[in-house]
Amino acid sequence: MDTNAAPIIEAKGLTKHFRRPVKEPGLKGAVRHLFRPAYADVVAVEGVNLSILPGESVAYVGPNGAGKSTTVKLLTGILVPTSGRVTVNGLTPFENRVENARRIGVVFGQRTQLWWDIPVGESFRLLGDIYELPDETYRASFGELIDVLDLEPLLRVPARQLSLGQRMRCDLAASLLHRPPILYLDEPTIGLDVSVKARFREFIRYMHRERGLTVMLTSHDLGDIEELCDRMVMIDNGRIVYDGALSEVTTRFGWERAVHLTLTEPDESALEAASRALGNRPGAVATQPEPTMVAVTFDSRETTAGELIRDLATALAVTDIRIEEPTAESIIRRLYEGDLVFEQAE
Amino acid sequence: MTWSMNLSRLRGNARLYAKLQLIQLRTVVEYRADFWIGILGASLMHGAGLVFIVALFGQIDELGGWSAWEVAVLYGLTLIPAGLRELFADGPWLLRSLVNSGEFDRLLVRPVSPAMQVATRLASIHGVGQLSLGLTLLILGTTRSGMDWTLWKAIFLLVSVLSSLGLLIAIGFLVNMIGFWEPSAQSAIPTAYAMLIDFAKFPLDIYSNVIKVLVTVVAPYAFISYFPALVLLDKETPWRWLGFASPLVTLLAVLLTSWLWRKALNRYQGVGH
Ligand SMILES: Nc1ncnc2c1ncn2[C@@H]1O[C@H](COP(=O)(O)OP(=O)(O)OP(=O)(O)O)[C@@H](O)[C@H]1O
Ligand SMILES: [Mg+2]
Repeated sequence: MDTNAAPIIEAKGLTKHFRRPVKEPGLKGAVRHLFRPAYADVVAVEGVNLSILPGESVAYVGPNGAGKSTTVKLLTGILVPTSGRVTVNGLTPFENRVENARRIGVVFGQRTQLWWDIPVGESFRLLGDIYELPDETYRASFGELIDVLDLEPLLRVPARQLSLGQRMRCDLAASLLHRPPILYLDEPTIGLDVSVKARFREFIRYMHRERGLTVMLTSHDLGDIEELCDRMVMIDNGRIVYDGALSEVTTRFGWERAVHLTLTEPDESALEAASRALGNRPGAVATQPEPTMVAVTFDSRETTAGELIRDLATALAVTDIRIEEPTAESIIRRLYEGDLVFEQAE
Repeated sequence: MTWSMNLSRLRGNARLYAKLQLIQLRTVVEYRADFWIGILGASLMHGAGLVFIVALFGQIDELGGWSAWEVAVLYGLTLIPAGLRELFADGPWLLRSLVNSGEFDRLLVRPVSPAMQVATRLASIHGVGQLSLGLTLLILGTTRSGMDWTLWKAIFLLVSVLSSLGLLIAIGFLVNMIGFWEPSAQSAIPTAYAMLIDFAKFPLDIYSNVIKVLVTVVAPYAFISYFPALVLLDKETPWRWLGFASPLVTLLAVLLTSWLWRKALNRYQGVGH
């Protein structure tokens, strides 16, 4: 990745408000709306700044309704922003939809771009015509995708008969047939089984690493994010709350740790003994989830696991000790739940 | 952009249009039962209209100064472009469902004009029925009513059928675009508006002034049958010249539609999932 390169995707102050009709329930409400329509303003995306370099892979995450899909639709030119600017490949997508479409690939998890009734192979040929690919380019690109995604057995099957996993593979191929430099994926792995997911990720990683494909992916599956993306952008209520390396999330918010102790025998008084032993340690809290287990959560900025274990090992009869490090998953979950709070992203 | 580039673009687009439309037609033909039911349905529908006319002319000789065969010409001029539109550009009638379901998203990220993708989204085999019936009526009507065929009348007919087709396609888009403004509306307006075309099957002379204005200005269906027929059949009326205005009306309708279409695309909200 060339860090001096100009961004391939850039958004400045990107904002989208939806107009939603407000109707009171029932026929009476509908009739009233007819004569005096009322609309509510729904803020979906508010002042989003994004700058993505060629060859980057970005995970776009956030709780349901945060504004991820809306952002993707703004970046792909499907929606016209309420205000703000988008530039992709040097173009404003919604002003140059046709030109923009030639240079991007889009995969929507819930929606296929294949023709429902015709064999998959013919859908591909039709896409070749739509993208005006020269014969040679088409054959090379098609051949490679068929190969890597193992689509040969599916080419004669109409899209309607494909299983979800098969359809997803075909859709991926369809979105990359014209060799776009950018691929947007909106919840691509939704509903896929573990092994299909793994192959899917492997393929995206291959295109990203070997072909320099710029990837922007929204997903609720942290596996997708951890395996595919170097960078995470988190949005909440339409605003970006975090933008940085995925690994940094764990260092920035990963100070909450836990020590799990297994006792030699069930002990009613273990919790009390543990609390007494911890007495003066700030931020350390003991619980006893099972009669033979004691768990202590602590703040690694205030105290170390070593000190805690020393205190506890003398107070309790312990057979096993396990120290739990926070994972990106546990942190992101807590961020969604509002347990942790980001400082406003710079 | 040079002329030759424009031309090759146009040719590429035409070829793509044919391919996309062929897929739709093939899909219909593949469901064989649907195909035959479609043909049968269309024949019955328009057959009923014909029975009515035959019965009518069993009672009277003329309708507003038009003989039975002259009315057949009006019928033919109406059915031919309607059949062609149904065959090759029935897609706009799916527009509202595309918009309401959010499937329209997909069309906006393909390097082909969304209008063309919408137009080719559906092909109705019923069109075959309308088209053949229309051709039969036109041929019978013109010959039996003693119209004298000349080369320029043949050209006039061709131009006027094409411009009628253009008008009907524009109207198809126009009425179905309501989905962009009122996404949830189960609107009856598009169907009601389209059904006004039935007025074009009879001479304008028999209608009240309100309806005359309606089918000339509001829903200008008179320009696909009545006015061109005045020219074809050499009818002596002060309104005859309007027969030559058909392409102009189509042009206006197309301009209005494409202006609104651009607005519609920019208003498109999609769905929230
Ligand atoms: N077409 C629309 N009309 C009205 N409101 C909409 C529309 N599309 C999205 N919204 C609203 O905008 C907000 C953001 O929606 P968006 O689909 O972008 O969320 P998301 O982050 O993709 O959520 P999810 O994880 O559930 O897919 C939501 O409050 C949603 O209800
Ligand atoms: Mg979404």
